[in-house]
Amino acid sequence: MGFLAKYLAFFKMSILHHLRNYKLLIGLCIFQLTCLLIFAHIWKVAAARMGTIDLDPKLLLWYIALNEWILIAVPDIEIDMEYELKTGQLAYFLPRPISYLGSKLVEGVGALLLNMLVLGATAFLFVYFWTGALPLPPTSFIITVLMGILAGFLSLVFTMVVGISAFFVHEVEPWRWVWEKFLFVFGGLMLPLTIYPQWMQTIAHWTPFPAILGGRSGLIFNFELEAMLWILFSIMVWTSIGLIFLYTLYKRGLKMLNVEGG
Amino acid sequence: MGVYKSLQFYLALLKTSIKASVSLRWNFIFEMFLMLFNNLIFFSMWWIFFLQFNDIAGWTFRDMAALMSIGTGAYGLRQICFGGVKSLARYIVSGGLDSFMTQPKNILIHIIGSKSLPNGWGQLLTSLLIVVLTGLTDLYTTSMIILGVICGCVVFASMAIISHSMAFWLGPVETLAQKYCDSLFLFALYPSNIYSDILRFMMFTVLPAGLISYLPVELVRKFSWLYLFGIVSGALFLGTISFAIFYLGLKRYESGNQVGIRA
Repeated sequence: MGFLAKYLAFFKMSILHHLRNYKLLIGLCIFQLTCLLIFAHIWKVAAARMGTIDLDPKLLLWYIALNEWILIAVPDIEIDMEYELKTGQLAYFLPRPISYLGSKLVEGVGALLLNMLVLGATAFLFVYFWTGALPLPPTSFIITVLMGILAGFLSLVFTMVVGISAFFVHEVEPWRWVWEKFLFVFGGLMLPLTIYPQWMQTIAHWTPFPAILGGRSGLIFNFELEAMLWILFSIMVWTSIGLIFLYTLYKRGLKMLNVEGG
Repeated sequence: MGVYKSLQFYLALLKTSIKASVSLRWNFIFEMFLMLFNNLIFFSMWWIFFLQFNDIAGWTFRDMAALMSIGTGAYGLRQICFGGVKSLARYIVSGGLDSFMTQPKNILIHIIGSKSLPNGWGQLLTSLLIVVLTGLTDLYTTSMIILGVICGCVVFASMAIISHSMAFWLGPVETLAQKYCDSLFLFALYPSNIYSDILRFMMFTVLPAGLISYLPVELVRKFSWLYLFGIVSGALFLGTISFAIFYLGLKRYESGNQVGIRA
């Protein structure tokens, strides 16, 4: 129980810390609505160009809101991790009776959940008043939102993988760019996945990106049990892979730090 | 401190920063090629798009290549020449400006020139590769692309300074500043002619991606004194505003208690 209490304390601290910084949350909300409008327009033009104008613009707005929600809510935890690893602050964390990686993960989850709550409320209310209806029956919509929370966690894990790479590289920024580019392209944020050749769509299917963005949000166009279960399975598998990868990199990095110094 | 002396100081600082970034040789090469790879993913997506649809609102693949060349080149130049801007919000919040303020140099120039990021060379290399591979090599096109890259670099740096300087008023907004700068780069790489009137207005004000994408590409397509004036004056205006906002915010700066020196 004491084991959990330590992490719970970090979780609470993270939420309180981010709540106190409410100006950032307001800024993120405004930013999210701006991106929502821009992407909605880009998609409208792309859809018209592709001849898929029959795509319901109201559903399209919901789709983009569900994507932007995850994308903006995931905290930039890799910046803090890079800073702590590069400046040697990690040395102060290591003697504590709590895992550095565990505390960072819990802190990240705290920030993620708070961001998701505030940004979700803003975006969904905005789109609801804009379109006048939910994209799905309430139960299905709640399931889609819950899957969004899991997808946010998956994205957070891989963001931490990017952050932990600071053990091995000088700057983590290029890795973050690569991760985001794949997310935008294979996640179907940049343009609809259907405009790409079939082989690219097949590749995308076997990556975590559609589960984080396009595939999951796409449930609002066609909410089927089979598709939902596949996305849930994909999220679970990729989260496990991400966590194992994260832990392995952390252990290797620590070993390197112990042998070679900071 | 006069403009000439500030410029001299900045050039010396830049030289040292670039030397420092190149000194970690393998890391430098790795980051550079990782960035090149990253940009080529993005470029390939547009290439595939244009293979299927010949144009988008009148823009052809050649225009898109010019846009990518200008956008990546401008961002790369910002990373190389003004890499220190990335840490500005953190310095403001954590009291890290103290060590810069104790020196008789222009503070902002000192901060933004204090770091040169290796991945910027990858962006510049992408820009160059696109120019060569897509045949944008005639004198007029190349000179307009270079002009677009330089002005775009000023716009990217200015907007980064402005967004990070918000930390003077709003506190720890590094995340927001980072997301804003990333989005500016992302939206600058979309063909701006697809935006409607309101969004186009936004693309020249709140998110001035239009200054980096729309105007320079239109200039590459056909020369216009108006567009040329728009690009240069827009970049100069944003540059001036960014300095003004930073120094306005600096009046609100509260010193930290960190002990440290800066050589």
